[in-house]
Amino acid sequence: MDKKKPVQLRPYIKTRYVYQKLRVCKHCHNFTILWEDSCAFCKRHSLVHVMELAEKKAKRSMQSDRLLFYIIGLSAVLLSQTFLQIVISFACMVVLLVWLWLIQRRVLQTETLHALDKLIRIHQKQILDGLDLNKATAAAAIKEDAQLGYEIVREISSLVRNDRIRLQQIVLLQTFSLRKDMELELEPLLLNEFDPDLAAYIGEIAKIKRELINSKAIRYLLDHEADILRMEQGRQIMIDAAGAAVRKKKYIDTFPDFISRYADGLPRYRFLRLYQIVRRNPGLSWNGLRDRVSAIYNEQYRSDPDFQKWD
Amino acid sequence: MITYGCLGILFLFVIIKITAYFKRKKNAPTPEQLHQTLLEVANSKRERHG
Repeated sequence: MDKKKPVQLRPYIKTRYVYQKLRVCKHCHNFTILWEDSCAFCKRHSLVHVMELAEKKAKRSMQSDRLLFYIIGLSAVLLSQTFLQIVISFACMVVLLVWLWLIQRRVLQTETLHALDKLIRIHQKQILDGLDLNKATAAAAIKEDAQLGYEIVREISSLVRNDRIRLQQIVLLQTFSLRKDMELELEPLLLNEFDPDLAAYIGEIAKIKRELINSKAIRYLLDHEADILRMEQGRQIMIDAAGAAVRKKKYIDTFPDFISRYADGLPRYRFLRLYQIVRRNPGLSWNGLRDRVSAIYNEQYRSDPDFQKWD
Repeated sequence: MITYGCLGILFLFVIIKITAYFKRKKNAPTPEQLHQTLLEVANSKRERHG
């Protein structure tokens, strides 16, 4: 527990859509989700974002259309028998070309989306091979530098979503000394099965980043409560999570039994928060939580001045 | 006459292309669909077992 390493993680760039992170080598069509400068497969500096390549493909397709347009238009000019026909052919060509070009400019965005869709579907195998290469890079990095390994796994997890990747992230996170200023996440790391490292991680998050404790995290703790309580720090994890949950009334409304079970272990300032919410809602009993809070108040905090000025 | 024939073909070509562009615009995948497609590809069977 004391062997935790202090680390300074590189900022994680979040994108709205996963394909905004995916890059492809223009030379060998190897895909990567990592930030490397050169392609891990052919070693060339030819990685571009898939969106960029899709736009290029869409533009090329439009250029082909325009090439066909020129061939037909110039045939009309070359086959003209009078000067008037040449003038008419040129005039028609210019008008139609401007019209076609304006429309092409208008539909470039949607054509790019079509091209990207095609690119993803055609290169499914290459995408999977690229991710395999990324995972091999991660495995090699983890052996030498856990921080770099974690950063790589974090990037891969934006695209590959399975418990193995999540577990790898959790195990690596548990080797670091976590701080409030770190870009941490919890919901994407929640597993289906019980894992002591994840439970311990939730306990730490409940202390340093309470805002990450949400309904899904609480449900995970409740689903595996018996297993967690068998852990050495199990009860403390549940208390810390209950302390984080009392920051919002909606969690008290949803999980009154959970909070009631661990209310007696809450630190003073977290219990004060719970007490304030209970006092502000005199009509709600929360399945016995009100009585439990009153009992703890009478037992431990009756003479505490902070508990008298809660308004 | 051949010139006018070519111009007719040119006009038809532009009309067909523009119609096709607008039809494709209507059926274009949304960024959300592409996001989902890529996730499905990356988390396909081979990935889950691999």
